[in-house]
Amino acid sequence: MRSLRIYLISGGLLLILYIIAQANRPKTIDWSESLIDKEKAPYGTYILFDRLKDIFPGSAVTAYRQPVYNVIAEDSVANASYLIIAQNINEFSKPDYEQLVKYVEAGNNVFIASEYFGKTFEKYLDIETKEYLELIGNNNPVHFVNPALSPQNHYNIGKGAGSIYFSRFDTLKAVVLGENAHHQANFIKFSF
Amino acid sequence: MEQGCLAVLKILEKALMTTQHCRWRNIEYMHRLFKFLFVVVLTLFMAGGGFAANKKHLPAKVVTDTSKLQLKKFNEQAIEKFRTNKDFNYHGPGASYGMSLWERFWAWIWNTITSTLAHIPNGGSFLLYFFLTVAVGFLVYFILKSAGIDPIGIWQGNAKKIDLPYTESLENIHEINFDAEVEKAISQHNYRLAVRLLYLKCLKQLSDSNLIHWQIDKTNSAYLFELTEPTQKQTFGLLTTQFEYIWYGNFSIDQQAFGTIYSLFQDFKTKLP
Repeated sequence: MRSLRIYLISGGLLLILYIIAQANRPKTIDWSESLIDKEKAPYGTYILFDRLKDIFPGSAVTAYRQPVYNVIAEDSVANASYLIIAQNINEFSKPDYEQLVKYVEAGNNVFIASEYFGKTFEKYLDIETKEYLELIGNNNPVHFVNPALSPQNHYNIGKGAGSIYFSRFDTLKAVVLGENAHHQANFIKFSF
Repeated sequence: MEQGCLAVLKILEKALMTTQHCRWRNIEYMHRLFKFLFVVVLTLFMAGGGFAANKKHLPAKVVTDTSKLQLKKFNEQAIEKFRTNKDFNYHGPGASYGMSLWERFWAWIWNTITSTLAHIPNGGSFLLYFFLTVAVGFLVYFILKSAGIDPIGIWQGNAKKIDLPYTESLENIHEINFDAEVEKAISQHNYRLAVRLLYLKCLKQLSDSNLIHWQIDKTNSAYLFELTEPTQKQTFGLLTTQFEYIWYGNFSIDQQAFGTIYSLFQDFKTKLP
């Protein structure tokens, strides 16, 4: 029991030291992928959300925190563009997908930004994403392919974000809009 | 280097322009609606896939976008204002643009985990509950252990502990007067000890008749292995099991049970040459 107490006390002390050290660390940039519209860190979407009306002049912007099905089926959003920005879309179900397709077929647009699209999209759109990790250098700038969007301009978004690409997609249905330095498509378009 | 947000923004900006103005190829039928599902990949690690060498070649005929666009722009002044705002100044500690080896290591770890899990149905929740169970189990074990309770012993249901005025550390079977010791144990109703003595006596008999080669550190199964005659082997095996249950298994036995075992030992003795 005596030795156990020594371990507990020294373990506790180390933990306290660690907490103090963490609390006193100089404030670093938060690279966590919050993607929250109030977050001003690099992976927040504050500016985008704030300036959405620049690219959608005269439109109303509504933020939703519900599953896609609820947004479309229950709120009957029409004549709109739907932006989904998420780290992954794992929780995307078949009803969500069906609603989304119906919504697109009714003339609306959907834009999704994610790293991992989850089972549903992988199944119905036949897509798959992977990360191309390099041991040395991790500079993987991205660029558009449309000649009108100056493909020679490469955008470095840092933290290996450009390294995530579509390792599989239906080349008959999808049109590539952008790719990374290794010519791996990371921005594709489906029309319904 | 405030590009972090701004670059993401630029891409989104252009993406949205495209959304608005690309046209569906077979435009001759259907309404003038063009509808797309747009997909971009923005952010950090965790996606599935391996380290470095995992390059998949896409099929040759990839259709790239050549549609006519009408550019839409974010308000330059507003963006400029953000640029001077210190909230969007991503200089300073941690501003590193690339990924450190450490970050890449973790990215690789998570890649491996997620891509493995992707092949198991409900893999995520299974793993979650598995680790939760392990963690809770460990916690309970630790608490019991520190409270001085033997956590494993609880489940075994101990037999009544019997004091044994006896030490088994060094028993040279050639130096024990078995008959006297067995008598003594029986008279003290210490049947477990009696069984042990009987077993040791049995070993001595086997050793005397050169059926086994006795050594203090040999196991019972080693002796069993040395026996060659099938009936001997079988009977000795039975005796060994009885002895081990009673002695090591902490079984308390009564006079009646002891009687049965005693006759078994006697029986065995008569079968020896």
